[in-house]
Amino acid sequence: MLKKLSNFTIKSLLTFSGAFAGITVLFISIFLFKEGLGFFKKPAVEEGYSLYVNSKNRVEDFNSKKIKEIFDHEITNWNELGGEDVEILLFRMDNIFDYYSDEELGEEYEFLAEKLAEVIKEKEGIIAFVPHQYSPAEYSGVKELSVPNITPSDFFAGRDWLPTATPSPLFGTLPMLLGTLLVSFFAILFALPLGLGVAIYLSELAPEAIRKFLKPIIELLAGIPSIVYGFFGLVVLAPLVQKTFNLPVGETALTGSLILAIMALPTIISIAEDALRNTPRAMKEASLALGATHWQTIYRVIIPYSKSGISAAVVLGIGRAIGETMAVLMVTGNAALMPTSLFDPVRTIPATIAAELGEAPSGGAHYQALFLLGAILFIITLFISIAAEMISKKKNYKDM
Amino acid sequence: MIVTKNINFYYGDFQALKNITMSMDANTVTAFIGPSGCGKSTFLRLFNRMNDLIDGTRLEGECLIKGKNIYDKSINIDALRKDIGMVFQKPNPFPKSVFENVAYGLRVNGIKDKKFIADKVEETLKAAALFEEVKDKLHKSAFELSGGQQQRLCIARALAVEPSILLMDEPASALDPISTAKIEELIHELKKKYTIVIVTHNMQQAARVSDKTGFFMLGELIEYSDTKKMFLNPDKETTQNYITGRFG
Amino acid sequence: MNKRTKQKFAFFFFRLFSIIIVGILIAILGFIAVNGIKVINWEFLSSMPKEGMTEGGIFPAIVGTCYLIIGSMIFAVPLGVMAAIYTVEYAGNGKFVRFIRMMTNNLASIPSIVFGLFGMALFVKGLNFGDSIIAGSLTLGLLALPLIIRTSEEALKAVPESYRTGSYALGATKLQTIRKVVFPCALPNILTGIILSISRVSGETAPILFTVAAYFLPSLPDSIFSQAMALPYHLYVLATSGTDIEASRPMAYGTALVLVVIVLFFNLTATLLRQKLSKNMKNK
Repeated sequence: MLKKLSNFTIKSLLTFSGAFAGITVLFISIFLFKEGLGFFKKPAVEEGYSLYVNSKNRVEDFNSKKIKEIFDHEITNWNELGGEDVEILLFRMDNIFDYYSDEELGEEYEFLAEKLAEVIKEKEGIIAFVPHQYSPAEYSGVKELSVPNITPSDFFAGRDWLPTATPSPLFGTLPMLLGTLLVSFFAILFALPLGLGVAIYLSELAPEAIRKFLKPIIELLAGIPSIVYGFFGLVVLAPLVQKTFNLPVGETALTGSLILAIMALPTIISIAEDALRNTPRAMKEASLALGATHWQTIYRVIIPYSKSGISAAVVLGIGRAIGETMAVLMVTGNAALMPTSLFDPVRTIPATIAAELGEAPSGGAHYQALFLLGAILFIITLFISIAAEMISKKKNYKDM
Repeated sequence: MIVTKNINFYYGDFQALKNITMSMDANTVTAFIGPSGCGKSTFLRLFNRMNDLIDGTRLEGECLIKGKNIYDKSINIDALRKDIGMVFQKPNPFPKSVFENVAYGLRVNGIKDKKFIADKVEETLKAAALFEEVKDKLHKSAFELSGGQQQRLCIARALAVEPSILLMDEPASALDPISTAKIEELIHELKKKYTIVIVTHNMQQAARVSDKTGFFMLGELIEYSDTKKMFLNPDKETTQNYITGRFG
Repeated sequence: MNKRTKQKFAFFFFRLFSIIIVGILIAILGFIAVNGIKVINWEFLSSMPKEGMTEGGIFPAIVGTCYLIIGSMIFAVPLGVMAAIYTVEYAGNGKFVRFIRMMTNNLASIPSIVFGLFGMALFVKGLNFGDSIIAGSLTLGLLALPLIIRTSEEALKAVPESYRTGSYALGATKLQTIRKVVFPCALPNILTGIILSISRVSGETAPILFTVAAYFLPSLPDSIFSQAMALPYHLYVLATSGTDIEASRPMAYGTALVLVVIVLFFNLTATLLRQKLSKNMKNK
């Protein structure tokens, strides 16, 4: 009886452990999305604040971008937004002292809301950015602006990432999405031909002694922490790029791509070499026996035969490049701008999370936006991982 | 056609072939028989320098094909292998279509004319007695064929580059009896145009297909004579014992 | 161009690529080693950072990394090995196991920064551990888990089936067979996987950024709920946000070298162990 019970306990324990990895993945996705999707319930204005205008103001259609432009003095007249031809008057809390003295506002600022209302009622072109606790909304002549929530299109198609701007932070992730893709794409572009070349050298050309020596070394290098590559990139590669291309700064997309390529190479070489060496000897001999040169044999028989293994190597390389954080953070310059060339500083999704999460107040829109970025990253790498698995399982014997 | 003089061959320290001198005539089928590990396959693979691919091997002696020492430095090894076709123990088609398998040798030898390639593929598939069976699946993967068909495809592939000699390394050992019979029939046909050297484990097969037979043991050529004589009245007692199945 | 010339051309490039790549990789290591070795001495390894981290040593970072290695392994090793025993010995080959395996692979592919996010949300905030060694260890443990599961699975699968049937034939139960026969046999290979995951854990930065790592601490951590410094994060701080970046450069080189040596040491141990084991297997 006791034995049965302990057997049962052990078995449940094992089952739980077995399922744990799956549970973790589910947990991670739940957490990321729970925090991340809350983002779309956030108003486009900083939390705890509202915008108030004169009740005669007819402008209805606001979003965070327009609010930012108003407060940046890019929009200066209400008629630009479809209202009356009235100059816009910006009003933040400290402006109240332009109108009233400390005494008039009361010792505990108990008259503040009332006074605010008076100012707003008087100035037709005003837009006031005021915390809720001093809300003047109950007084006549004041209208609280209804600002819509942040929309997915603001997030995915927005070109400006200004998460700490007031009154209306901007969370456009397009620069980061493009930055991530740009850096990863070129990293693979550099790493693939080189990696494949080295893999071919190791599997086909190198004498056995050299292969036995180099392969473990290259595999060891795959284990060097990314922070070390990043450090190297920062102190050696970035100045080198800056000098070579005569740039104002060395921390550019190109630097990021190069360091990522270097990091991805050991993995690509190792997996591709294994795949190439898996080609049956008989294939190689059959080709040589027909008078093909060694090189013809390699590119007409051996590479097509190991196609799935090589593709898996590439896909894993891409996955690693997209998710890589520290090295990229250190060498790409981290400007959240739309990338226009390889020689501009860019910023990737992982680097954004690493750089900003520490400063984002927990639960705020910025914090949630970073979780949403994490969720995007999670989905991308999940797809890549599934793709890699499907590719490496598939054996393609069809026409090539 | 093929003449070897005092061939010694080593894998590292191990001597696989000992002082072998023999000659093979054009348009005949020569069979090599002998127990496993006797060196017959190694010997065969000398003729198209396939042993070069193995590290740590060493050759002494001369191997002349059409009067030229094929181990001479001036020899173009690709041209040599093009002229000497080879069929392997296990069918080893490429992971390509039936058509591309046969066209492969033409393509790697620089032929680009599509019409010529298409004609040649059909012609060699016919020569290998395979065309009727595969004409509807020329562009399907070669792996969809049966084992016997795959082996005939490999023969067709070898024939497409118009070799003068065909080396066959136990070509039927992985096949069923019906497929084997088809291959043997094919060898009879091919003999008219090609010089064939075949390694086989199967003595009946050697007796059926070959004109001359060489018997190898422990790296030595024990006896080499007309196949009929070899099987009816061998000179050496070892040969007699092997052929009658006392060991092997 | 005839095919021989083409071949010469292609092979020339492959050789060139190999020289370049191996050259670059060795240059990176050499650069770190040459610059790092100058600052490494006993004082560097055993004292606290001084003068705004431009002098002194990296002792607390080394200690922190050790704590994190130990903490993450306490969590990940039993769980990972048990998971492997479950999938290899118990679960058969059904849909559930395939699902688990897929999930394990997915877990392995998740970028380390996402682990950092998750660790922060669950351990630091959700379970209210705060920035602490335990939060960091659990996060790193999750990261190491798929690696341990996968290597342990391979180790268990490598145990010949005949050992199991032999044990059953003597009347042993499944559990006894696993405990007395299969597990001891697979243990060396499982160890290799654990050592590899230690190497991985000790070099990770992104997962510890928001779960444990401290910019600077005047004293060593005194409980699992205190923050700690760690080598990779310390390198990051020294390289990018120290009080005087130029003056702390030598410290950064030294830290990088120590980190590389630790990581490569574990990696090399695992590689050598694996080579030795596969040789032993062959001799049997």
